Amino acid sequence: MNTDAVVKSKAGQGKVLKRKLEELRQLALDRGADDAVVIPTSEVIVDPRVRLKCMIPQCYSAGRSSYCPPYGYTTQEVRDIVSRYEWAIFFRVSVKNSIIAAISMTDCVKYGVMDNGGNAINLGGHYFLVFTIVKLLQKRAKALGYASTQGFGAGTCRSLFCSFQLGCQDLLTRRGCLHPNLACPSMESCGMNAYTMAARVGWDIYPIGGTCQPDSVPHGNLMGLVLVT
Amino acid sequence: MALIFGKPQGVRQILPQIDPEQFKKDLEVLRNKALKAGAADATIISVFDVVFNQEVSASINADNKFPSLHWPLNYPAESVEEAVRLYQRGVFLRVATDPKMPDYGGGPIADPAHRQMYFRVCEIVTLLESTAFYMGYHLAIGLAVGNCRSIFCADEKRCWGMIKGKACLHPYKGRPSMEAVGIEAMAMARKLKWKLPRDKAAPLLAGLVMVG
Repeated sequence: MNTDAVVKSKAGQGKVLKRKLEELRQLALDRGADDAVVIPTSEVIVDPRVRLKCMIPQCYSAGRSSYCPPYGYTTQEVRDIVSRYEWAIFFRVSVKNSIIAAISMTDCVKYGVMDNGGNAINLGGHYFLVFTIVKLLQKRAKALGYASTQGFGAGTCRSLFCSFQLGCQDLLTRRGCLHPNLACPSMESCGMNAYTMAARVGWDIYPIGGTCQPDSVPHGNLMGLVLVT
Repeated sequence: MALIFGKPQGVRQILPQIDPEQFKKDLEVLRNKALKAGAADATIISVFDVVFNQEVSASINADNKFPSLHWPLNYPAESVEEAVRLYQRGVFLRVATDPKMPDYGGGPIADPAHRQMYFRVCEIVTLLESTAFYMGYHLAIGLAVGNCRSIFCADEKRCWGMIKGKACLHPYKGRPSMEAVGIEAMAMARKLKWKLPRDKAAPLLAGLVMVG
């Protein structure tokens, strides 16, 4: 093949890639994401402070799932994984402030119980949506020819899929995950600074903690990421 | 008197980049908050003022008769140092101590008044950490003093956080100590020329909140 042909071929591949990435971005929006962008993986921020924040103060999920610190991928492993890809789909699912910052939410998280207002189950539904979109994007990407994708959700899979189990099966028995087709690590458990990444793509994002109340923040966001190619 | 952790006022949006002018003002707010909450000294420091010493973490690792999630720290030490080095600035503080207080190390704190002093450091640290978090510094981190189990869970047979699959009983209060992370608080205090108790055996009850 002469030089012109190589250039033309590369340009063609670029167009195809762009079209496929746009298709995936659109799929995320169609399936319930409030925003989705295609980003180069150079914009994925991997910061060891994020994993440290899972431990200090200790998140209710830390040490309770094989994906959450101190288990799961180390920051260096995540950097290696990200470096093998060039493009990613980054999306957000918006959550109403009355749900994510409900007064009852602190107790729900702390004691692992539901509230009468249904906020905990509603928030769980939003987290579930993030994991679902991640898995759908991975499935679609595979159909488009990208066999090896990597997906990252939000929060912890243990609370969503295994809250009625005694513990994370993979962590306690090493017999593997009970829901490998649904579960994946979250962005934060892998040390990805999802908040700053969201701010950099122009999404308004607020810190939401245990003492927040609905009028403290306009809304919340849950983010997901799929490394595609 | 316990500090009140109420509803946060004016939760700020997280910015793509830290505004240096605002950051300076916020650090001053945090420092004043520490002093108002009962710190005897509080100083804004640069990350370069943080002194890591492997001997400190080695001595903590050896003192493991009353182990907890944070004593010795159940986290790779090199990752902690790498993470702490990524912060820009922090507030380093101490509370006044009883000159006759022995160094309890990581063991139980027999005297309730002494335990209260350790508790005070944890309270101030968590207050500053929480305030910084709501100011939009979502990665702010607080390090306190002593073994959290001696302060909060002295009556528990085990540290719950250490049991596989169980969670910490006091996640909003318990923080690892500076020494468990490998930071030499005394060297930092000397560098800042703080007036410390003359009795060298008395422990330094210091905390550190890294921001930005």
